[in-house]
Amino acid sequence: MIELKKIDFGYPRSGRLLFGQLSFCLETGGICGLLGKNGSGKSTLLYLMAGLLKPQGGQVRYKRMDVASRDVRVLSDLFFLGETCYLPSVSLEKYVKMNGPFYPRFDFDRMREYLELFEMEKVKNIGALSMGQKRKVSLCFALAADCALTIMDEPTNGLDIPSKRTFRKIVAGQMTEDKLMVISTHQVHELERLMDRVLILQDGRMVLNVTVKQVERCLRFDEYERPERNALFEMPSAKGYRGVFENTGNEESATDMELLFHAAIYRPEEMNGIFNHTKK
Amino acid sequence: MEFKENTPIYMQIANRIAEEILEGKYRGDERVPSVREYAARVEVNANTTMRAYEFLQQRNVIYNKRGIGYFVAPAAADIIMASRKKEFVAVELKHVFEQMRLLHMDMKEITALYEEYMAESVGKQGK
Repeated sequence: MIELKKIDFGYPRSGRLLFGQLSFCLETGGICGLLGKNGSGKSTLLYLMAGLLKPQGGQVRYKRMDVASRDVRVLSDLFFLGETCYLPSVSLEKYVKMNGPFYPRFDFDRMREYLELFEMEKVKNIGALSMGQKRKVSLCFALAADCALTIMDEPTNGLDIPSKRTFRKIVAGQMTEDKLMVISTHQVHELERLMDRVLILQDGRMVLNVTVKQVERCLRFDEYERPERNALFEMPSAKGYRGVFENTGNEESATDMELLFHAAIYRPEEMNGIFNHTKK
Repeated sequence: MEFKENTPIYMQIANRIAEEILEGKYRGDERVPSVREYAARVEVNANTTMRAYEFLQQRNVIYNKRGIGYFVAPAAADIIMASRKKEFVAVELKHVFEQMRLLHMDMKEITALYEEYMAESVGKQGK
């Protein structure tokens, strides 16, 4: 669906490459969570995937076209929602009427439905809204656009507690086999049940790219009283310790994204070894 | 169907649906909500939710009518109960026996406690 081929990218003034020969491919029909520390390159990667930045080497291909070409066939079926939502000073109605038609599958009824779920249907001038409210309107628009590829950078930032729930409900309910959603977040627990694939980025390297199903099969998450020597990563908890291990049995456990994240950051080789080993 | 706490999300969902079937929320040959409906309800990825449905289908708790949806098998409640019983004996009852051995409690003591409990709960139900 979207393929990154040997991407080289560095910001001109930094004097170094953030991504060097980065390659990976994502298939349609799922929700992909992109995790990483601040400054790990999450937003830059999403900009590259959306064609908003051009790589110095390599290519990002979507629908068999280079996204950086900004071809209409790409732009009309790809939605990018950045971390800051800019909205012009017009009425909500006018905004939707003006911008909806750029997306062939844009669903005006769904737009109305989503706005109601976020309690934003009575809004007038969208330029005068607070940050959180602008985000709600932008999220409704992004989801109503119904693009095959939707990329969202920290979509729940600035949302109040009920809206975070509304967001999860809409996303879970609108997912279909012909769509791919890529969502970055550093609030691991907020969206962990929403993703079926996890990408973990560290210093411009993709240290982990696995499905939740693989994680359940290959790793075991546990809570226990005394430190365990063979834990890939463990941290103190109310009961004693929470830790992640290689899953050597047939039992599956509930995935703890926070533990998975730490283990991937601190023990990338061992982690990938476990996933590759189990594949065979 | 296992009933442990630390179980994957898809299993948690499968257990939740099994629970709803036992409660009579969905009866034999009645349709259960679609995967997407259920995914939205519990705010979980639809692929993950699908795995819960597949799990229940494999165990003959629900069945699929192509193009229409998933339905509760007539024998669903019996299958869930049998599975729970097996789990109870293998895990919880085993744990109880271990504790009995550790604490030097014999069957007589347990029987007395059990009878006391039953008398109490029957009394409660009578009210």
